[in-house]
Amino acid sequence: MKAPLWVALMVASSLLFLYGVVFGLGDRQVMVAPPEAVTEGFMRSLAAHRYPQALPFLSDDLQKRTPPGDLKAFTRRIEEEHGPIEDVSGEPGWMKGDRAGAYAVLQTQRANDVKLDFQLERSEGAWSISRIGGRNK
Amino acid sequence: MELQELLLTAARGLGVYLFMLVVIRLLGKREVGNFSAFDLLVALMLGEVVDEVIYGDVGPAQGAVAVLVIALAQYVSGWLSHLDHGMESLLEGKPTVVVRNGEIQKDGLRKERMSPHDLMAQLRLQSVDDLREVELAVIETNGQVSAVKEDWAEPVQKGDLKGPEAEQKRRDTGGQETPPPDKQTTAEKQLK
Amino acid sequence: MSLTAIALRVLFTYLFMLVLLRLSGKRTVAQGTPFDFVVALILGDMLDDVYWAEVPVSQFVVGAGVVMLAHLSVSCIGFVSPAFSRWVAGVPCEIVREGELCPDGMRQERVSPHDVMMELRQDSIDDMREIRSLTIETSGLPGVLFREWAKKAQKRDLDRVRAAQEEAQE
Repeated sequence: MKAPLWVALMVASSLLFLYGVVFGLGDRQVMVAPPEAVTEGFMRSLAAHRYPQALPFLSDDLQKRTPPGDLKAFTRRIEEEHGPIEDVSGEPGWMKGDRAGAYAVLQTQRANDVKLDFQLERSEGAWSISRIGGRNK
Repeated sequence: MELQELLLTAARGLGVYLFMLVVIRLLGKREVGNFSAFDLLVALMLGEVVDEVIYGDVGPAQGAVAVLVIALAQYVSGWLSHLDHGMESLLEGKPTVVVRNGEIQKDGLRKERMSPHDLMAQLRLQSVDDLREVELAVIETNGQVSAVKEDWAEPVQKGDLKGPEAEQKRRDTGGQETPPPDKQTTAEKQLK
Repeated sequence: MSLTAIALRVLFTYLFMLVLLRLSGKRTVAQGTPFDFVVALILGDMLDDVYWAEVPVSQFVVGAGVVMLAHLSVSCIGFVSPAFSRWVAGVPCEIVREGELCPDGMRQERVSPHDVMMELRQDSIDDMREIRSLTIETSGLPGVLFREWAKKAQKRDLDRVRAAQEEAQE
């Protein structure tokens, strides 16, 4: 009968452990999604045209500066130039403190290995995209 | 990792759980208890959908629709099978006879794409080591092999001995050793 | 993605699930209800998103923890209130009684006569008249009870077996 209490205790202590690992030890790629997973997730959402799902991958700052139609336009541009995106894989770049760079490598209908680069920043333990490529989009 | 995200996840987890509780309850035990490969697949499908909702990749409305459609399809096919044998054969298939009176039925095995070797292995799981003991072995619609033994290979029953049980047996069976086709699980009509 | 990162996430979630399941006290599929099985599937499904870091580990911990918490709470309530337990898990339902099919039970479980025959064949039974009761338990699995005369001879019947043997030899 006390089982639910034990489970609650376990969840709480696991979360404490995770918070300790992420904020105390400064883990940036094990218990939280590493930069390359963020870029991959972001591009996969765009490839599936699920723009509301893609938005949370961007940093709060970038989200505020990105009007709804922008992600759609960005995706359109890629599709026009290279064809519909068929597969995405994230690639790590560099990491220094709370900033990082990573890539998303796209396989499209008409092209192979289209490499997009991103800049990311870490806040509250999680990585998010602060800049897409060289443009301030 | 922020608190708000986690709280949302917790709320979705709870919501999904309660929703699934109701759905599974409405579907009843048949859907999960003694299931075939397809039933297992359906259970996996439901789990897969539900999981996306908890993580917030899919909206609750969309998830609910997917789950309800799967559940409804299962429910309806269950009802149809219950009501009409023709539908049941269509939806679930028919059992295939693979051994009859100790003889392996080659066309049955071919239909099930099973080798004699596999068959013997399955029979061993039923504690059968001598084919001659088998009156009928069938591959059921849920994929399992069932083996019914010849009368002389069956364990001794209390009704075979002298005493009150034999009396009761006479009363219950009306003196007939062989059951009528309605009550005989191995009768031709039961396998159609 | 770093292989060590994947390995660590797998290890962490494995241990977490292990402890969670031990705490839940659930054992086999047969002892549980169908819903136990579905919950296990849900939890298992949640794992792979964590391995590939599509989801932060903390989100998995909270999601899986809450589902398990709700599930155990329902069990506890069921333990305390039999009426609630009956609603959640259902009641055992008889589909064969004294050698005859039970249409009411069969309708409730949506079971056809062919399903019954299949069930009996799987237990190596070829004569339905031998059955005192065939019941679908709350776990969804069937339980068979034989009539007295159809039960196997036991060691206490040895004398009578010998007597029958002697008679047969005459």
